[in-house]
Amino acid sequence: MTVIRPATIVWFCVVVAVGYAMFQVKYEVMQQEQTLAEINRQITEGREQTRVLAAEWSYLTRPARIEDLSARFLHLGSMNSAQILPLSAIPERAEADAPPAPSSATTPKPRIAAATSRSER
Amino acid sequence: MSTSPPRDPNPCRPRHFRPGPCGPEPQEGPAKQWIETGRTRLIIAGALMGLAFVVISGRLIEISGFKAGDARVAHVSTPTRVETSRADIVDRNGVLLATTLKAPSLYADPRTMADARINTRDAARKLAQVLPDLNESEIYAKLTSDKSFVWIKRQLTPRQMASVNALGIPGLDFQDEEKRIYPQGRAFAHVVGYAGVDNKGLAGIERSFDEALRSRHDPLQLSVDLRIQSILRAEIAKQVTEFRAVGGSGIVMNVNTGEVVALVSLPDFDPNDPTASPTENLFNRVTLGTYEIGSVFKIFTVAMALDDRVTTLAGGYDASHPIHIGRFTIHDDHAQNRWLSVPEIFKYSSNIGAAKMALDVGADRQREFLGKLGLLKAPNFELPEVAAPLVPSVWHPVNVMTIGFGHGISVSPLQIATAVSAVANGGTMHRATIIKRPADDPVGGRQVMSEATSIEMRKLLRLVVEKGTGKLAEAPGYVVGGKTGTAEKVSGKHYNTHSLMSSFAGVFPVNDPRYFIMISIDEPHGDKQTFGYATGGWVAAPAVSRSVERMASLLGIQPVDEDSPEIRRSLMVGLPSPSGRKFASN
Repeated sequence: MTVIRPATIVWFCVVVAVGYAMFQVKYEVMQQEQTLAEINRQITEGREQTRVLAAEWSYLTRPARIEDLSARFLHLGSMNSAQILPLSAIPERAEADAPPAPSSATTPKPRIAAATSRSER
Repeated sequence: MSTSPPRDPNPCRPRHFRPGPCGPEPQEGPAKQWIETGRTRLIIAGALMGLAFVVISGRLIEISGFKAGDARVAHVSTPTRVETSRADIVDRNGVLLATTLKAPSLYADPRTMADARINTRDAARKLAQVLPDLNESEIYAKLTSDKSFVWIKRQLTPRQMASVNALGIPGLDFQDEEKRIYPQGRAFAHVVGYAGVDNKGLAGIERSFDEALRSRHDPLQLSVDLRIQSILRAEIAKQVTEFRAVGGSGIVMNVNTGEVVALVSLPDFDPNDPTASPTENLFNRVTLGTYEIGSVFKIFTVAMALDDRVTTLAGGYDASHPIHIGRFTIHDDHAQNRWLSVPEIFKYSSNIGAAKMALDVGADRQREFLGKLGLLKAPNFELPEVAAPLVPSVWHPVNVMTIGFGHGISVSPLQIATAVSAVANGGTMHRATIIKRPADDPVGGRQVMSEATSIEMRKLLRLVVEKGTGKLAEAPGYVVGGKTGTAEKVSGKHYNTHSLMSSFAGVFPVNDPRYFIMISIDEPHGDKQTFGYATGGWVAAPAVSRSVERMASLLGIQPVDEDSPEIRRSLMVGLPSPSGRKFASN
């Protein structure tokens, strides 16, 4: 009978351990791949749904439809140029706590007057 | 412990292998030679194997140790892209104009249904409830036929598919198909066009970019703007209805890039179902229609005369008598019957003045100038529906004169837009395009007239709106400048005084031109409100005014005070003529 050398035992153990680890990893990878495929399928499905929703959104936000809805529910008129002012026309406040000074220097005076009188109505 | 032989002749021999003590010693002679050969071969094979292992371990260390990051993972790792056979089309802000959706088609397998003993009458009733546009008895006939495949309905919506699935009838199944959807419907009918059932583009962008749309994945971005388009369409539609016109057309163009921002041709059609509309509705009036556009053409005549220094803003022509040439008589619609200065000729839209001015410039130079403005040949444009202008083959003096006020030459509104843009923007001719220009793309252009001429033309265009025939085009705050045009349409061999083509072509804000707008109404009928007039100034100009007022803020144009001294000065005309005949202002 020959004596089993310790190196042999070590190698045997290593082989068994590596074999186990390899299969373990392999099954894990298979499972991961399955999950990945499932997620990818969901993403594709989601993208398809997104396309449908994008088309529906574009359909529902047709300007003609929005205009109709706005006329029925909002009672807003169309905007005119007198309602638009440049930023520079807004009076600057001297201090943070100072009350807004309506009579301070504003450049296009008649326009502001027109705009305010319209909004007061 | 046994002692090994003093020298092992075979280094590849496993260590623990020892030849038996009573094994025969290698013989001399041929036997020894064979064994030697065998050993040598063994050594070579072993060395090769060893080398392979070294390479593999080296690679292993390399991958696990140094390249851990970029190891190529399995190729299935990316989700599959939604494969469609045609790319989307979007407007300049990314709003969807055309898309392709999966549209499953429902089919039945009547044999399987018969084998499974399905109550077909019940199934037909349920299907007819879910798909209300189908007839119950027709479905029943299909389900009881002796086939293994019958279509029940093509291209279902996702909702219909879900409700059919909810019925849970065996023997019904879906087949994936695709459907081209135009969510904006009629709004972009003539721009986007449509594709047929076999996925082939048949009109508009769908046709001209057919190949590209089929091969690309990212959407094709057009230069049109949905909001501007729908404003323009609504305003033209309003005029067409109000004046009982047969149709109308309109175009908005960025004068500094040549991009078409809106393009409307009425009547139009629903690209989702193009066969439902009469064929003439498919006709694109803006690009495929060519018209004698009338007085709008005076823009080019005056620009040409000013650029060639044939006359100046202070010059003028005698418009007191109609011109008789051959069998034609040229007279004015807003006759002043006196000498008119150049600004007055433009303001009152004097045919006599324009004819004389054109004659002064001469046929050759007129032809050259109109050619530079792209009015004599078909424009290079992305839509397939592009017409070549109708130009006289020989330019007699009478042609020169009539072309001077826009008769005897037929051009498309698209050509007018491109040419007037060049007149207004400082004299640079840009190619018209309906594809969005990248922001960093240098806009190429050709100088076709001096900048000074362009600045003078802006003043004249403003004059028409401020004091002339185009007063109704005024949009407060947006300094519209433009020219009216009313042309009698040719019916047979004669002009018909009762069927008109009434247009207004304008630029806003004219002191710093940004956009060109043109609206044409085909065969309008005047009403009480317009005192029976159906001219460009009465029919098209108000629509331009309303359109500009609604779209300017969307186009990022800040309203200004037209009465401010700077703007007044920049647009002022009215130099007294050398002879003291003052420019009359009313």
